Amino acid sequence: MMTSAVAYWRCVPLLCAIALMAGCGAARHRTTPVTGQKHADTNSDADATSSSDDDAGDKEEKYQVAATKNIRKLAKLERDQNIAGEKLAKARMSEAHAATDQKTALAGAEKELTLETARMKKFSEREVPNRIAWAELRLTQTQDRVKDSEEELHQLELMYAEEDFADQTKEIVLDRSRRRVERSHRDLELRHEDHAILIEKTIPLELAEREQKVRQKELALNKAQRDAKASEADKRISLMSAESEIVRVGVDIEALKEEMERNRQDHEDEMSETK
Amino acid sequence: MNRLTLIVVLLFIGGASSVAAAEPPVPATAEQVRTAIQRGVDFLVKDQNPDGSWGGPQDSITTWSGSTWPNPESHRAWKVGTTGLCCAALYETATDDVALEAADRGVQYLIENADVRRPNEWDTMNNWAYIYGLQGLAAAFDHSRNGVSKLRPGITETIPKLLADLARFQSLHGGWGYLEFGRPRTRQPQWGTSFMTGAAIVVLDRIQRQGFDVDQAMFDRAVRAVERCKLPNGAYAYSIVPIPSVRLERISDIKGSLSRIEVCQAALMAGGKDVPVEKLEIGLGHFFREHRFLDIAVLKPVPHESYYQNSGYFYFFGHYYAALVIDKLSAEAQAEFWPKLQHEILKMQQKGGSMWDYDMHGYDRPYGTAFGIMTLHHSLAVWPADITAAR
Repeated sequence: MMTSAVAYWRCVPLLCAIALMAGCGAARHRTTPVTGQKHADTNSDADATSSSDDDAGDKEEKYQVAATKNIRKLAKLERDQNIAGEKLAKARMSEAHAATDQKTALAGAEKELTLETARMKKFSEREVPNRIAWAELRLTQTQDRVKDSEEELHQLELMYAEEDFADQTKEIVLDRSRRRVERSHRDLELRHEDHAILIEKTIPLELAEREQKVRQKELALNKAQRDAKASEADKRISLMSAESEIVRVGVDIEALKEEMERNRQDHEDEMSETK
Repeated sequence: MNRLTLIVVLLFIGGASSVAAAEPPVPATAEQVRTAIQRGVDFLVKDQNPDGSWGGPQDSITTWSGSTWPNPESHRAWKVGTTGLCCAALYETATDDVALEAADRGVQYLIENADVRRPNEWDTMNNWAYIYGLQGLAAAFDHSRNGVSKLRPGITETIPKLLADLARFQSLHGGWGYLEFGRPRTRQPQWGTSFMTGAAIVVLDRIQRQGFDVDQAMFDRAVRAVERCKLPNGAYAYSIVPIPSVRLERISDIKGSLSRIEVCQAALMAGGKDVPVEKLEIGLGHFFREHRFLDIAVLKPVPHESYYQNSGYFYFFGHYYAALVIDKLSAEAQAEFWPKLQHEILKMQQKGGSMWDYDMHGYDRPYGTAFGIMTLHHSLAVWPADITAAR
């Protein structure tokens, strides 16, 4: 009774393994001595010859344990094979995507460099001379305003020198004109300073900044090119790894199956000898 | 008629009408001119307000003036100025008692309303009231019916008062203006225009000749101010400024200065300056040759919106002072210019006898008609025998 129960409980992992094999659809064949009925038959034979029966039972049990392990191992390998297949598909897809991304990134970096170079050219060849010309014109206009306000003040003084009326208004207007002359002189000074800053500082600084931007775009393009090569190599390695994994798992499966077949054959031979 | 034929016919008609337009207008007869003056007089009599004045803040057909001139004192200034012009026109042109009585009522209004103040710190339209108030009173003073009339004392008391006002508001640059722009604002105005100063000089000269005490320094300053507005191109600057500028396509161009040339030349002559006859004739030549720029500006509602910044109200003003200039020319020259001037005035007369060049509340038709009939009246001064002889 005890032996039957043990045998029964021993059969549970086997049944689970069979069920798992069937569930995965991975098992290509099954070993003949793994059913409960066969196991019961073996036990009933043991009743006849106890020592040989015990030996046969041990061998049977060992075989069953080893068979169960191998079945589990096979199931795992077959799962690994599926995963390796998915990984290979993913690696191929990644390689395709990476190629597109690299192409886009390179094109973007090249365009950025082209634009920045064009901006630099426009700035240095057109904007800088134009800004300098405008600044010089504003400076000249301010000089004109100084001259105008001085001449107007002079004319007012001449006009009012002859007039003997409207003293207060006359002084107000003359004071206003004198203030205009003073302010226009100050305006001219500030514009001279602005002009010097523009020529000596602002424009050289902006030129340097723009040159730096062009350099940055060149570096970005170089980096994008390097990244593209590295990424291509990475993807190629990934693909090769995925392919190797599939091959490796396939080899392991075949080896395991051969081992299991050998074990089954050996076991059957042993059992025949025992009878 | 096919399209080509139609185009040819239209071109022919267009060419024919251009030829017709280029021909000088048929000179008006003296009778036509007298009739036009009488129709103008009749209009003025009919248009007079019950209080003896002309014009008022009513009847503006555009919004421009209405929204910009809400100050009652501006309207009082224009009313006095318009009334002065209407009185002058009636005394100078009318012969019937009805019209002259209307002029007397106008003078009574001027005497009673001569105290016109500066409307605000920006607006100095009061100067128009002084100038044309004086012109109305000067005409009344000269008219024979007022030699012994009850209006005489009022006239002789009001003229010095208006002269004093004019002196108070003479700008620092020597002329008179209608607005103020300079800041800080000052009691004595800072801005003046050549044409307003010219109009003032003309009337001051007349008043002076009548024996009134005109401040000679004020008068001389005004004349100097107009002289200063002379531009190398023959035009006169709009504003009296220390250094005038000439800019193409602007008001200081000849085409924007047509009326100012006439008033300034008339003023310089009134101021005792020797203006060569050739200059007068050149100015009048410009006036009639470029007259289309005055025509185009007529009745345009926004001041200075027309070509060369001409305004509608340049029209009758300029023609009136052109008449004063023509007065000074030889009979031959007058024979050339009077028919042209008459034509430009007669074409403007409306069905009811009025003349107007700009929408300005209730002032436009009375001031336009007053200028118009005074202009026509001057053109009759040597009519017809002298002109006929000259022709």
